[in-house]
Amino acid sequence: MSEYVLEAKKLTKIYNANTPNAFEALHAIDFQVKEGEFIGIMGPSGSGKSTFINNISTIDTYTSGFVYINGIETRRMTANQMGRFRYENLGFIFQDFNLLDTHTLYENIALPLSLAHVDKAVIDQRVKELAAQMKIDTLLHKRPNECSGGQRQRAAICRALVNHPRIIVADEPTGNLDSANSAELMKILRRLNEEEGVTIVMVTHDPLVTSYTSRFVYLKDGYIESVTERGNMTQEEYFHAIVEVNSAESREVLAE
Amino acid sequence: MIVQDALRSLRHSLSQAVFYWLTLLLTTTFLYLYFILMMSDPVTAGFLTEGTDFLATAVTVTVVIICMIAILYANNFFVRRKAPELAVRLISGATYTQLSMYLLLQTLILMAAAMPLGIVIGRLLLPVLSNAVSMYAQVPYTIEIRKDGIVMASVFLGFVVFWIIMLNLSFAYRNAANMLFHSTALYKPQKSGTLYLPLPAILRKTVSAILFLGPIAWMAFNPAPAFLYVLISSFGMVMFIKEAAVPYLTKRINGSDSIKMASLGFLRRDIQVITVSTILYFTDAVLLLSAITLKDGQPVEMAMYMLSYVIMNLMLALALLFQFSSELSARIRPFATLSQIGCTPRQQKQAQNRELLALFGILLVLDLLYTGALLVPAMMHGRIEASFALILFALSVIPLLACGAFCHVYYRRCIAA
Repeated sequence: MSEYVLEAKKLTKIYNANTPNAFEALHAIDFQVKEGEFIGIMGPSGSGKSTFINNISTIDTYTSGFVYINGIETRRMTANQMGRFRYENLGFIFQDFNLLDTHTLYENIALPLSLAHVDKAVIDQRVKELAAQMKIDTLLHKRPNECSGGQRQRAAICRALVNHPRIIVADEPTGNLDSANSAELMKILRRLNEEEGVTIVMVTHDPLVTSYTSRFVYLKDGYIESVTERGNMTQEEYFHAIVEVNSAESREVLAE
Repeated sequence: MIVQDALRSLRHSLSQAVFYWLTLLLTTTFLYLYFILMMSDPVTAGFLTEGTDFLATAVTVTVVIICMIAILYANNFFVRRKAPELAVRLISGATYTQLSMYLLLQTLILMAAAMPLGIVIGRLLLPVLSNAVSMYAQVPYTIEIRKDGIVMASVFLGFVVFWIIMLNLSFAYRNAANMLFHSTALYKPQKSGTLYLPLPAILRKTVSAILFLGPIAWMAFNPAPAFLYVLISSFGMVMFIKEAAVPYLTKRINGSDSIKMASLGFLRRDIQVITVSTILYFTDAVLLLSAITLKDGQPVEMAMYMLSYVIMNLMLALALLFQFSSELSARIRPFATLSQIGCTPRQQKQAQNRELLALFGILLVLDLLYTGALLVPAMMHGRIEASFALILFALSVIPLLACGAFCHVYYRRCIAA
């Protein structure tokens, strides 16, 4: 068994491959995540952050290289195996929440369990338990469009956690939230990581949000430019280190 | 829960579901009537098997293919709106089997609501068809429902079911979550794929115009191999769009009039997007019109051609509607951008009106050219009466106009949303 829960080797993504408009968005990236890590991925616009996270998490298909999740190469799986694999291993949180507007919050949260044919009583217990933890238990009968952004994102987190995944993949999870809700969400993610050992890989452009992580990866033009470990730094020191890496990039541009 | 979910999803996309249902209903009614009619007369029933009548065989093959194409467009129109929902199911752990079953169940519900009704309507229309054949042959004629006809109709309806199942399974299989999440992005227009001629631009334009319009003119003088002419003309049309129409529109899009810029820009894309449906529409119309105006066939055979002409025009107008509506539903973003850069709602409506008027104006002119090239000489040579020619022309124009009216309403709704 690999020591990494997630590993990318020579990960390359080319859009419009084999056409005159071919564009290589990721260039042979090597990347590893150990169990229980909380990783932030940052980078300027167009650096390939979302492409990277989509390709390491089965949402998109990479052009070449390898991605292993819990030692299994994701591209070798059939379409049927992939569904089961996602259920057992991955939970997703998106900037746009991606909840079904046709369904209530309860049904949205229950969806992964229902697809996996989990017993109804177990689904009910698990949904209510999580909703209480995320403080949306009184809203379960409502549809997403009747809730605030913060409430919708909490529901999305419940859906991501309901199947006890080993890895949470979050793409700009605070992108549509105000500062209070963003801080609240980050506390929730940190608690999940520290107390329940959930591995989290998160893309964000916000240094404050990244300061909740244990390691941050800075992408630039489809390469990993730098990796910074929080180690023994306080959150404030870590925050300054993150700002420094981001502003170094801006300083380089200004100097040119 | 999956049945409940499928019903809820159908309710959520009711207008798409109704149009899909209508396509299935029309297909069923048509295939039932066509094969009952075809097998009702032992004389005409032989034409497919004996292989002596190329035109009749070509008509049968074409109508079946067109039914498949109309269903393909209808299915794409139907499932495309569901793409984000399918993506959510995928990331929630849905397997390929679950996803395809979820899609298939919705289609099967629509089929169950359409097919029996289509057969009942077909059955009820049989006396009407018998009357039409009697009027045409000027002798009493009754269309008999023979066992062969039911078998043939069942085989082809079974094939429709199989086709729909395959479409749904392949849609579920080929779509990655990322693609489904971004399904509202604009489709890439189909590549024209025409032969590149190493000639100066003006010569390429001239050659494409000759290939496009020449066969139509030729058809007016010698309509016998109309199908061949329309194939050459279709190839010419694709070339003409690439070599002349698109460059012309690009040249006319200048900065002096914002509404003109927007409408011509959209029009340029529209004509590339609907090229295939347009070619199908006119190829089919010419094929069937040549059968109606040139052949001196059995009354039942002629009734089959007339029936095919009416239904195929309807089906292809629906296919055009589905293809164009899929494009229109992706226009929300461009119109949001127009709004952000200061284009007022009134100006946006003006741009939409101009775009649709120009597009459907072009389609009507093409209709006039293609059908006119067959109907006017047939009328002049006394093969058909003027009133019949007018009816045939109207049967081709009305579905196009109806398609334009639906697109207008749908466009407004998309942008307002």
